[in-house]
Amino acid sequence: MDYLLHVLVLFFLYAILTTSLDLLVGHSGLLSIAHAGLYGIGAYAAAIVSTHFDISFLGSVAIAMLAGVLVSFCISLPSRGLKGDYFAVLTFALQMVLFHLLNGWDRLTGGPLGISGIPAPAVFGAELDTLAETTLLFASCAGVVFALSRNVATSPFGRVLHALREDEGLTQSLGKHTYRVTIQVCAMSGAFAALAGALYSHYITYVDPTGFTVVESILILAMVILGGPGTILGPIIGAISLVSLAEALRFIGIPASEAASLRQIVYGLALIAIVFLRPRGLARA
Amino acid sequence: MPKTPTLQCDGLFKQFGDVRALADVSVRLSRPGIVAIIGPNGAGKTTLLNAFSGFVQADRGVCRLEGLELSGHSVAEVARLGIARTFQEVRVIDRLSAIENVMLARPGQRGESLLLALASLGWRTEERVNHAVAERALESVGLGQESNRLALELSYGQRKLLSLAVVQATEARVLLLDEPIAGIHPERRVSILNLLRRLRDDGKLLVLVEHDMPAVREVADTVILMDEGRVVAEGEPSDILQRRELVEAYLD
Ligand SMILES: Nc1ncnc2c1ncn2[C@@H]1O[C@H](COP(=O)(O)OP(=O)(O)OP(=O)(O)O)[C@@H](O)[C@H]1O
Ligand SMILES: [Mg+2]
Repeated sequence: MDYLLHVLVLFFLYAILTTSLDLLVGHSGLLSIAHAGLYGIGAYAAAIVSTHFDISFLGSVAIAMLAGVLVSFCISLPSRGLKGDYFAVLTFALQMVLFHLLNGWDRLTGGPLGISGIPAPAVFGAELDTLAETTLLFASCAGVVFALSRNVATSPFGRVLHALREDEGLTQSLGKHTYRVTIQVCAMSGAFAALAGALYSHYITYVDPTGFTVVESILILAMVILGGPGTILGPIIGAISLVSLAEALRFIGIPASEAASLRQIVYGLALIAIVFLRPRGLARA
Repeated sequence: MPKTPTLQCDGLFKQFGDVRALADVSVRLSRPGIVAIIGPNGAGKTTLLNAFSGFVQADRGVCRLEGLELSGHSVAEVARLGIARTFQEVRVIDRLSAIENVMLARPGQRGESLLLALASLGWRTEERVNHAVAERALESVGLGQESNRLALELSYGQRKLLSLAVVQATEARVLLLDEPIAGIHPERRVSILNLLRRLRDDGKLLVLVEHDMPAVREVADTVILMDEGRVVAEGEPSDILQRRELVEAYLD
């Protein structure tokens, strides 16, 4: 039972990550490979503030989201005029920088050892001590992220994003604030990625850098692309599929060491699928 | 004191490598009016529209909208000042439906603010109005039946008509139209020419680049003939298109 709830928590966690990444990849045509970095920023921001200061769970989540917004904002600044694949290269480089910050800034992040002793989630003073309650917390957060992302995607704001992903020049010739809209959607996506990170930190009560590598970025991207970018439900389907796949590999009793490589191979295949399934409009032409 | 022209440029130069696309172009255009820019391929007609709409920064010279200098303004700023344009190679957003393309073009939408979009609040009424306006714009170009089809499913001619509906919906005072008539079926052509006249009668300035001389003769108030980046002649269509030396040199 606990195991099933844990898998459910993972579903919701990855649903937040894929939904927020899809705001960039699917709806805006911005192929970002820095999502795990932002997820990590959120996880570490929550870990650091909640182990160093007497701060509530909600406060820690809010600070983590703010950190995600700030970092994401900085990433989006050079997005003006950076088309298609150049944005991917830029975010790839930033992903590397973010990982090495988490891995190397020992005094702040604990380096490769990470940070432990992060308090479990508590809402308005009441600690969520059963896994069922925690699952409910993840479900609610995923629900809110989903609803907000859908609102944005189906609004006139989303229409500008959709126009932008295909033809920036035409969108500008209609007087749209293309740069502002890009920065805003990046900030929103970063806030949600950091939210996932903060929830994860408080759930596992321990963080280390290995969960926030470029491989993780590509896993999230693979989920989005497999599920169908820009389709509202697609990213969630992608998250459920790949989380289930990873758990199934564990379940059929393959030794841990082999399961790890097998998982890498599956992700590698997913990556190849990305190259072939890469839909029209992903790169801003 | 003479009244300020709606759209003007003075001493415009633009060089692309060895090609002089614009070589000392000065024009003054006032609304309401329909101005046709004609001339051989490569004369610099599209480049002139690009200079007015901010897509090309001139090497020398200035463009002005109602006296306001346009150089230094981005494409989007120029658009918000009241200049809309279509493209010779017909650009629409493929993966939006016809009606979404037109609704996108509506100015000053509150729903384009992230906060109102997140809250899904405060823009539904405006959206309904824009939907109705967009439907009328589509009907005016004969695409009333196609409103829910993706732009990529439309034919070349339909996409061109869609781009006309799009610029109408911007409510810009100045419309720059790059070959709006060429490639349009004769039956539809009449109604498009009527639409252009109606837009002029609403007080707009329409600047068309057009190779279809009968259409120019029918609809234009003024014709500007360009060649090799220069304005060669300017006047009423009946005058310019009758002058044998011009027709023989540039239009045959
Ligand atoms: N972006 C550009 N880069 C290089 N050369 C250009 C560019 N835009 C225009 N030109 C050149 O400038 C000249 C004028 O081009 P322009 O497109 O303005 O002609 P046009 O009068 O619109 O012709 P057409 O009737 O064929 O559309 C041409 O020689 C063209 O090759
Ligand atoms: Mg041209």
